Amino acid sequence: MEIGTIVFLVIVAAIIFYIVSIYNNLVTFKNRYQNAFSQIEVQLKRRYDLIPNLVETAKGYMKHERETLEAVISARNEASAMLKGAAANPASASAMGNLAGAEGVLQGALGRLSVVMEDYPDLKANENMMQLSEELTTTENRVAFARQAFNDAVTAYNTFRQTFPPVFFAANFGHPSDASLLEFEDRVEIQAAPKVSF
Amino acid sequence: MDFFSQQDKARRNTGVLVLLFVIAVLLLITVTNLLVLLTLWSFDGSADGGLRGGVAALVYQDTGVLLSQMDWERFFLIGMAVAGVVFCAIIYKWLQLAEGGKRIAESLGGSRIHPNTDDVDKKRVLNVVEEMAIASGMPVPSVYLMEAEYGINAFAAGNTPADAVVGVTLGCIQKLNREQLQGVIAHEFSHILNGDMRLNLRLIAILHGIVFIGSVGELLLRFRPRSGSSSKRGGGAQLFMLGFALVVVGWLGTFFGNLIRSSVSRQREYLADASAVQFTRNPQGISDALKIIGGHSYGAELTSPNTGEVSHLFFGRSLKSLTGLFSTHPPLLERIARIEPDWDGSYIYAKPSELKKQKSREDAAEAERRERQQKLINAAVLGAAIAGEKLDPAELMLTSDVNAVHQGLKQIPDRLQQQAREPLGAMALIFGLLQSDAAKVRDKQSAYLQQQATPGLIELIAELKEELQTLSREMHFPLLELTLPALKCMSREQYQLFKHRLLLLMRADDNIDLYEWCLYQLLRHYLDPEFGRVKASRPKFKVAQQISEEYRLVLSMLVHRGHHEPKDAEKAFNRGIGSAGLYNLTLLPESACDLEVFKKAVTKLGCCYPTLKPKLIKGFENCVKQDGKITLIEREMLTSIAAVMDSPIPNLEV
Repeated sequence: MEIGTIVFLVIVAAIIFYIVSIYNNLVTFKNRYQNAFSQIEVQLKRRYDLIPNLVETAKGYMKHERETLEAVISARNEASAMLKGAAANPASASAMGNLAGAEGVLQGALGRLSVVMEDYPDLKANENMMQLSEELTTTENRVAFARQAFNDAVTAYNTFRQTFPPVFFAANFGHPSDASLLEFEDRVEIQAAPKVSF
Repeated sequence: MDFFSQQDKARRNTGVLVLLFVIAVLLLITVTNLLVLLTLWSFDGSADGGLRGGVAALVYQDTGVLLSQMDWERFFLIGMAVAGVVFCAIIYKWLQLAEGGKRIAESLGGSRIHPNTDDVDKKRVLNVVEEMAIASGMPVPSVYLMEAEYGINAFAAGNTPADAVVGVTLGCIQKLNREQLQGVIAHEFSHILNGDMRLNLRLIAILHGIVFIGSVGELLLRFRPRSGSSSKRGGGAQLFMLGFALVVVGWLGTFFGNLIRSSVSRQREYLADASAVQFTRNPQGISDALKIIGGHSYGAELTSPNTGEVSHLFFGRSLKSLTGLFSTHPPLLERIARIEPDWDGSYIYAKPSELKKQKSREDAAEAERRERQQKLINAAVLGAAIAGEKLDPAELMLTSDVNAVHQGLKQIPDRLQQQAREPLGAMALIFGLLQSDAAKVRDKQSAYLQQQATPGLIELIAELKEELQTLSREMHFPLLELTLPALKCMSREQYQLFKHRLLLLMRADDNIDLYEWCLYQLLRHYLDPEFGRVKASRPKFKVAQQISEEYRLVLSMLVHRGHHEPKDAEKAFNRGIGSAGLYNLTLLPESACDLEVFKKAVTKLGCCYPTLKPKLIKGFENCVKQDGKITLIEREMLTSIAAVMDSPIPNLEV
């Protein structure tokens, strides 16, 4: 074997290693953002568990607002179902879009509930209600924080996927498209937390 | 058990490992050369007889024909090539492993169990890990769950305690009860403490190097041209021969690799079993866990394709095929018999329904115990308050006779513990700990937090403030350690902002005091590895004499701040400085110990060669242990100094 052959072999080996490392990095980045989604899942689930209690408490006071309450519950159920879909496949853009949409509807329903609640001072003074809305606000903040972490992880994945050498290999390695960020439609409202607080 | 001597032994084992490795590589080179010779000879020497004729000729004639092909230059080149490939493969794996245990856990199909999970089984394993961490004086590692694995197994991986992770299989958290889980987790912790993790990672890298040649051979065998024209046939056959040769060499490599690994790994397993008993003070737990593995239909086996190269990290034998001399773990029978000498030899075959019942019983008992404890304390505090005395709840905790392992956690109120498991809550807790008492500084601090505000953070800090103020000073650092897994759930961008804010808050009063400095260094030490590769500062100092002044200052500071009696101070200082191998230095007066200079000196100590660090740390350790007790400040200072020096945090049991 001549020196030239050896140099050639070494270069080939280095290229192979490099390509393998691209593959591994893609897998790692994907794992990371999928893992980050489970953080959001935990928080959203907690929120969806709180809402029935909230509605139950409100029911006792708001006899004439059944429609509003039902809208909240159905929006909550819809969002809960969408969350399951998104958790099963965080890479799917449509699942993510559905979740964001359902969340928007739920936010809207909760917003209307808080407007209606203005007319029921007794309800606002209810200890249980105060505690629930407080908890809802905290969970809201946690969702926002977890969502930020998820979006950062997704961005890291997308950026790596689009950079120069990986962009050639990504599609062949089973990473055909960018992952989608989770943006809730009603961003301003979420950041201010729903107005069930008083 | 002395962990330091064990760590030392682990390091010495590394020496044996290197020796075995060199022998393996030399053998690989020789065998490769032999095969190349054979190949060349079979093509050149007896082209008419073909390969079979050639081999027959070789057997019947003398080997002189073969040796006549010997060419030292070629031998050398082939040797270089083999060594080069092995080296490249090792470096590659090494770089990959430098990212720490996280990477390994992910490659095995693990996903992180978030500290705020609501699943009962996951919650239980997290609690057990937390308790074990506190019992062994370590930071709480992240826990990864391998959801596709039904065998009962667990592993610990990482380069240092800072980037260590503990991984468990689904079978492990479902089939074991709390005590047994404790035994398994304690076993993994002792791997971390005994310095096995590092050794294990080195083993992975080295094995990868040796086995890699075989993988290339397999690749060549598979990719050989299917059917060529007559002119190409020779080349195809040669490629095939080369591939075949490489496979043979690779097989040999695997053979040696496994032999090396097994010989190192097996004895460490007994040791880890023994330390697990020591941590939990309960031999039943771990021996029952082993018995359940014996009775479980999946045993301890794993299905992930990447198990092969990491099988020695696990609690139980993860591969069925490796037995006897190549087994990474001693036989179950032997392990159980060593823990429980009068064992009757029967495994445990748990029925799922029974296990479920038992688990819910345990959970109920646990909850009840917690509640009773809290009630007792509340009553006692109340009683004392009525009697006009202020009683610290934490003190009561210490005197009540709960399991020693639980004690640490019990002193932190449940609400704070809950928040410590939420990323946002954990951040609020850390910022809350740094909040100043002076109103003016506090305003400045909240102004900092309002820039790029994180929703809800400021409200949360305000909310937690009261409880944080009642938390006893001793529990500040344990609380901080409890927040680490949650803080690791942040994204890299969030972490950068967190660190930036941390520095701003600390500097709000234009001064970083010792407490703030310790807190920051600990956080940095444990969190930085999670968010990217840590660049080690370039070592500059080889012998202690080069930094004697700095060492003197740091040690003096440790003596003065550590509340030594004046007459003991000199003694403690001399003992410390002596163990570090420095003489003719005297204790600096307290006035000379300025915090600014101290910080610079510690940073400079961090620039020592790794070989010098253990000696320096040992000096600090002996100094604080001189009076037979370790004060809180001493503990905090020592852990932070060790953190700055990027050296493992010493075991501070007197």
